[in-house]
Amino acid sequence: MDCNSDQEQFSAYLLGALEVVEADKIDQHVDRCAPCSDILRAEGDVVVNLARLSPQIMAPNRIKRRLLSAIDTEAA
Amino acid sequence: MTQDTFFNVWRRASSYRQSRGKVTAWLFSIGHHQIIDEVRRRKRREQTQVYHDVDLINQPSDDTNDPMKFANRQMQRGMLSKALSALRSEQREIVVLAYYGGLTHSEIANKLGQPLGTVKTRMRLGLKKLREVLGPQAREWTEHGL
Repeated sequence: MDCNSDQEQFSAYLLGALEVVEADKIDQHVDRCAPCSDILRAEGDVVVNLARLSPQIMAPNRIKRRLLSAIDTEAA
Repeated sequence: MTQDTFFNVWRRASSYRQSRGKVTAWLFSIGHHQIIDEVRRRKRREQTQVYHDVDLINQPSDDTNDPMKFANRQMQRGMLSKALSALRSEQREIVVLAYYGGLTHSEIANKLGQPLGTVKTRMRLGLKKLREVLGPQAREWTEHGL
């Protein structure tokens, strides 16, 4: 577990630009390392806000019905 | 996509860690990964082109029925757009290709013909600059949701 080298990957992790194996490695690291978890959380705010540039569209009611139906099926 | 996102939220509820951030951030992250997966699937299937200059601001939106919400949203978009514009063009290109285009850092390096290390550095500096420009505003938006 190398904090410095993994922290250098945080930007790519947050932007979704890591390969799955690399992202899993970061997940495992921050799950066990409180200082890195704090850094990742602080850096993540700005990336979450990038989603706000996308147009906001109200999901139709049928999505909710389908979702609940899918959950019922999965839970059964 | 919306349905799949919320289905995954339900399915992965136990994996949420409060220490890693707000529920909103976690939800956005799941939604973003959902979209990236779909973009990558389509690219493989259709070999579609990833656009560099996505017009993110001037797209229709459904929040026009609440004037206050609409005004706030427009203000947020304006500030975010300005923040993205503040990046050096080579940083902005990489951030956009990664976040909105769904490309990995290796794919971006190949596409732009740049060393992987350069892409990683520009990605890091780009986000650092965005944080500086948006400042505490970014945290406030995340804390208070949409």
